[in-house]
Amino acid sequence: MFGEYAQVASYFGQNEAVEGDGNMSYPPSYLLPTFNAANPWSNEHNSKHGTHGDFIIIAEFSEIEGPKPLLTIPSDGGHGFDHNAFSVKIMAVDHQTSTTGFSISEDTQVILTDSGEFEVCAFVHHFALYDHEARGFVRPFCMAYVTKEERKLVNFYEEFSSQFRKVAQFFKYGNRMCFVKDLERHSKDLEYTKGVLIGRFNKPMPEQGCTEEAIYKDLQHIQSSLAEIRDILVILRPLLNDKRLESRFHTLESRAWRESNKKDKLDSLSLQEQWFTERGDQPASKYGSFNDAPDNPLHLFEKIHAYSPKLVEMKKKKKFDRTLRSLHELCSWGAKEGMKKMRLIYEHFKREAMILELEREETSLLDPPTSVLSCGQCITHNFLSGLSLRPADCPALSFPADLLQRWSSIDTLEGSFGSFKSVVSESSLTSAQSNDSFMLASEGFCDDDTLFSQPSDVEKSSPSVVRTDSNLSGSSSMTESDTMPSVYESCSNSPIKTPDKTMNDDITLDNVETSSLEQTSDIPEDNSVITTESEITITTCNSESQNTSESDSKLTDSSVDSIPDRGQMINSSVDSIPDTGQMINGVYIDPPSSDKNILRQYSEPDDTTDTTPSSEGTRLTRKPRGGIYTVGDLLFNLRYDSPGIGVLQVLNKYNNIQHIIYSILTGRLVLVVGQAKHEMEVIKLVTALSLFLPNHRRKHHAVVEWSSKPFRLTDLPRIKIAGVCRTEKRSIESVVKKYCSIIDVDKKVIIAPTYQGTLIHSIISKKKCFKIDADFIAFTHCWFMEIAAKAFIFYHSFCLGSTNIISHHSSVACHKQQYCNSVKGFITKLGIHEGDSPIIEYFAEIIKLLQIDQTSLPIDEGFKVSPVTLSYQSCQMFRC
Amino acid sequence: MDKSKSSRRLRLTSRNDQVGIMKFSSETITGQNPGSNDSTPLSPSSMFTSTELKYIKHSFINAILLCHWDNILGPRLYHLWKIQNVPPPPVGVLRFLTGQILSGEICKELDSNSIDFKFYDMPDKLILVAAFVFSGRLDRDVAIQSVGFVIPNSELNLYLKYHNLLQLCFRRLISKFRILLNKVSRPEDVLNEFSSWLTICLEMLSSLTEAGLPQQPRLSETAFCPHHNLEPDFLYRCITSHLMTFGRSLVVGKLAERVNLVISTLALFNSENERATSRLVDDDKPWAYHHDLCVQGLLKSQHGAITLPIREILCSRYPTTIIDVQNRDVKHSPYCHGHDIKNYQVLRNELLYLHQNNMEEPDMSNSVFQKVQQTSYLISNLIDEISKLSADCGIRVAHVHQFMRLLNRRAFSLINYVETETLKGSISLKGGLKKLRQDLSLTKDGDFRIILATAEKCKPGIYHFLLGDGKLVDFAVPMGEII
Repeated sequence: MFGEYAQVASYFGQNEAVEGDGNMSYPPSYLLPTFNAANPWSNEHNSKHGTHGDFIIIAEFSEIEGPKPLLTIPSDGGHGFDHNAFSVKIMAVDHQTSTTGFSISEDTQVILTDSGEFEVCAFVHHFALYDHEARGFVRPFCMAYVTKEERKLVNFYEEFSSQFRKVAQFFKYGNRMCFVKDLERHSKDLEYTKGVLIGRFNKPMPEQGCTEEAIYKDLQHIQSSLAEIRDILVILRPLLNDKRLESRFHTLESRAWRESNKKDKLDSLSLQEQWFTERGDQPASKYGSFNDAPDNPLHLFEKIHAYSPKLVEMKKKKKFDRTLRSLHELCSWGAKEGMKKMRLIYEHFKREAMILELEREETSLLDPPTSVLSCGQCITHNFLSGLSLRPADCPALSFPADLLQRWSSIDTLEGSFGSFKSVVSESSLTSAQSNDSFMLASEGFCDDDTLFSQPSDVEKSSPSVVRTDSNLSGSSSMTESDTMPSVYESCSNSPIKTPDKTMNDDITLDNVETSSLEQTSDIPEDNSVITTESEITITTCNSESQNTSESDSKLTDSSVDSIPDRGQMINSSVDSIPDTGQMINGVYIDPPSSDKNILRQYSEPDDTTDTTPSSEGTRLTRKPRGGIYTVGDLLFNLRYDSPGIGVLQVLNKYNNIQHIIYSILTGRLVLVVGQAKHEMEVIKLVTALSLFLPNHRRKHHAVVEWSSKPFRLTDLPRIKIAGVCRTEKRSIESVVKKYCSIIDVDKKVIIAPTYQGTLIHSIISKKKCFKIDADFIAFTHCWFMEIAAKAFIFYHSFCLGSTNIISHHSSVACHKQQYCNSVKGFITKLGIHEGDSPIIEYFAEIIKLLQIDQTSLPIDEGFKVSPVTLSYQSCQMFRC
Repeated sequence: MDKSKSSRRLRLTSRNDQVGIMKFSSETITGQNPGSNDSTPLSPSSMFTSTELKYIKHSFINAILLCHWDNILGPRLYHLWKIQNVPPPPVGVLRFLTGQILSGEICKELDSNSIDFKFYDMPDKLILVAAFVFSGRLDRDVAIQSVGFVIPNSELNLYLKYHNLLQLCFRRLISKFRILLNKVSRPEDVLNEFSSWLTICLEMLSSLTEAGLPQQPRLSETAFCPHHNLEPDFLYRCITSHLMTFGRSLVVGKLAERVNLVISTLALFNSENERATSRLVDDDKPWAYHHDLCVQGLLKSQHGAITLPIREILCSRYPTTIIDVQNRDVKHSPYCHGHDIKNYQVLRNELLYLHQNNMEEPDMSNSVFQKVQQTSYLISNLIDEISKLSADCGIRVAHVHQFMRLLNRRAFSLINYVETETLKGSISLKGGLKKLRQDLSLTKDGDFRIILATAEKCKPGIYHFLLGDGKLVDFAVPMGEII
């Protein structure tokens, strides 16, 4: 401080000299700004203050030494940074606000910027710990997150604030437990000493030179100390009420006991951190060991040694030559937990502000979880995020009659269930029912919608359901195809009263929108049908899908099994709906094998519960993430097996890879086949290609890097890309071959449907532009986002919109043609090449399936139904 | 035993307030004695003056402090600005804050032109303090001084939204304040002058409460709602330029309704915090232009005339798009790098003129603004896409938000690319900008500028790195399309 005078004086000396020259037109230079162009990589190039990244520093105001740094996270954090000077700066202020008696002071949090000496910004959390050996029982500490990016601290202030409060809570709680224990021991000492003194008082021994007066004084002293301790305990004890933390500490301690009993693992749980200052063998450092003396402060819970009180030396004056206890001794297990938490904080926030912001922005896409579209484990879009499907928010929606009609099947659930039952009761139930069941399962949601929608003003007449189940009886004997025989035609709709949620009298567009959404989503579901003439739709149960080569009867059985569940489900969800007539106006189509007609449109609503204000929706909310990263996070944590690693090499090495990428992007299984000697190559291909895999979450195991087991049709539902080992005996079953695309590493050929679009070429053409995979991956995720935006429009405007309304009076074949044409027309309007249309449709399809998946989840436990669409497409062989 | 006696030892932690301090109870300069009811005894140097800032309708700031480091007394409160109808915190708290703000600053260099920022969150006092610490002349000395804004704890969220705006406003004010302090003049004059500036600033903040944009964008208020019509070409130019200028726009026009339509539309493309610092226009309240509001408007006079606040526009941190709704005219101030230089010059000149008592700053010509000529595939595609989406249920707004995420992701991709190609700025970009634009599919000039502006927000300095002087392209020259 005093050095400043000289500095000021010298400054003014210069200044006056300037003014003496008569140059009055300019103010002193310190008042004018300087032009500094920001350096985007200042962290890397700033040599003046070290090249450190972010770090956390813990400092204390020692009553002996003043402000001093204790430790940093990471241990070498802030290389080239003056920790001592910085500690002085942040610990210069006494943050305790109390002026009288013992009180609990709240923590203070500070953001400070320093553009002079340190050129850093810091988030500082000040807190005080109690130490019965310290002056005033108080030891001020602080922890500071030091960074060069100010906006990180401000933009994430709330996160920093709450996280550091949690850390401080660990420290303080552990500390209070220790402190209370210390005080209790101390008061035992005092009581004991008091007893001794009283004994002396009663039997004065003049030869020892103890006067009565002195003893009396001591006794008074003890009495006041005891009262003081009592007061403190009265304040502190009620604060020790966090059972959760205590049990956490207790667990840690008992684990430490167990460990300490193992001879080889002595001290493995020592609390000692790596100290910032080198203290090596100094006595203080040994305090951290758990195996120290039984009365060491780390033993919060174990009471194996009864405490024997000691005589307190009353005349002793406070000496400041003793090292005070370390942070770990003060807080015991609280410090252990606090440090752990702090390391997590560091790991989280050490990333660039840009990445953190990107992460925050993209994390918002994870809600609602039922409509998240991801590609290569990276979030791409959420088709329902930020949408408001509540009626009140859509006041402008008009109520087109055709929409309502189209949607009418949805609101009359029970009827459809009834009709379904009738199907079940028929002896001719065939394998096709699996598809039925699927339909019903998905109808399960629609009751949700119906609850919200009240088509009371819709005048629909009698509840007749006209069912044209042409192939219901006869479709059973297809080899690998299941038929979905029931073709419903909706003729009428009936007003429905929903007892629960009937507060709302008006039909809201919103509902209409929702329902239409559901309908639309169906359509893309059948995209395979649409695009290819021959296709098979299988519904598999519980991922144990039937091998299609199995007998029909088996298949039928399984599907029949599943029916009661669904029935229940529907019943439970629909019981509030009166028994009015209803219809399903969708038309179920079955594969060409069974019937001539291809599916047009069947109405099974998707789940929109998450977006509607139903309690169901909130209950279903999954924990976000689920193996999906944001782009910044993904690239920050690239590992050797992250999706897309090696992609540039693969793209450069293999020709005609666009056909394979096209297969991946349309949901067709891709097998990478090679002999065992090519295992590495196969794995590399699988890893690289998994970049393009939509909705690939880790837990779904859609990617198999290398499998030496034969690949069977039953694997189809869950696996999307697999590396397969070719052996002499086994090759891929011909049945599987039909439904997958193959890269043969040995023969250097690709067998896949021909890609005729342009989108994939545009990304492959960039393969020479990027030097490293990470850059290419980042660019590819932008590309995915653009495609997803198109799919979003397709989903909302075509699938859910009015574009695809098809008259109910035409034949199924006609429907199909109409549908294909309208898809083609719409996609072309979006500026998408016709050849890319299946990609867009598949993206929309994914969302629909997700919603079905989500809705069926809580109802059929352990009996999840996932529809599988296999499409036979003619393949070509390409050299690669 | 007596309880009070028993806790004597514990009081060791507290300061002894009674020693060496003379009790003082005279009038302060303004005739008030804020400390008279306070239990803390005062010394003569504990006096401070105070001013009340009037006619501010909404203020989330409770009080503003001016304090300095006194070489003898340490931290000292010098002046207090109270806000009309807002009770300031007790004097004891203000003194405590003074100590907090200044205590760590004794080592600060006096000849530094930097203005450091500190932010305190004190839950036990239920207040937040945002403080600026700087060196300034005091009497014949240079001392560490500080201006602190006392905010109730409950306004934390609001403060965080306004943080960037407040930084820019107050840093500018404080720079000017330091010049005034340096001139030998009566302290009252300096404080009065500063008070008037503060009032302008607080009025602006108040106007944000009155005419701010709703937190959640409403489609019905934007041009993407089918009920409104705005020529697609005009809309296209507005959005392109708005995004090229970092989401900063000034909309002028005759009809408040039309101006607000454009403001709301453009604000769709801004982040939540940026929306919070944007303002609609109001026929009845002719607020003046204020620099660094993200999107704001100005109403023309009856005769359709308006004087653009060119100097103020250049004072903003980022370039600005100027949109004339009446004439369908879209201009923008110089691009990032050129703007940075102009911005620096304007701010520096302002200080120089203030120092020289030169009230008449030279006019600036309109020629600094250029017409928007760039084309952007991204924006034309977006407008086309939006037209295909339903106007209900927030679908269009959601699509715009997703578009902004796409911009961020592409900016991220660009930053990654540049970092790899230049080894984080240690070598210049091989292959030049042309290759970069082709590699990243940014051949349209507008697209490139938009992504670059987004990247600049993520990684300040990258615009300068790629397009700064001595670099590959002169900012003033349109770059043209790459085919």
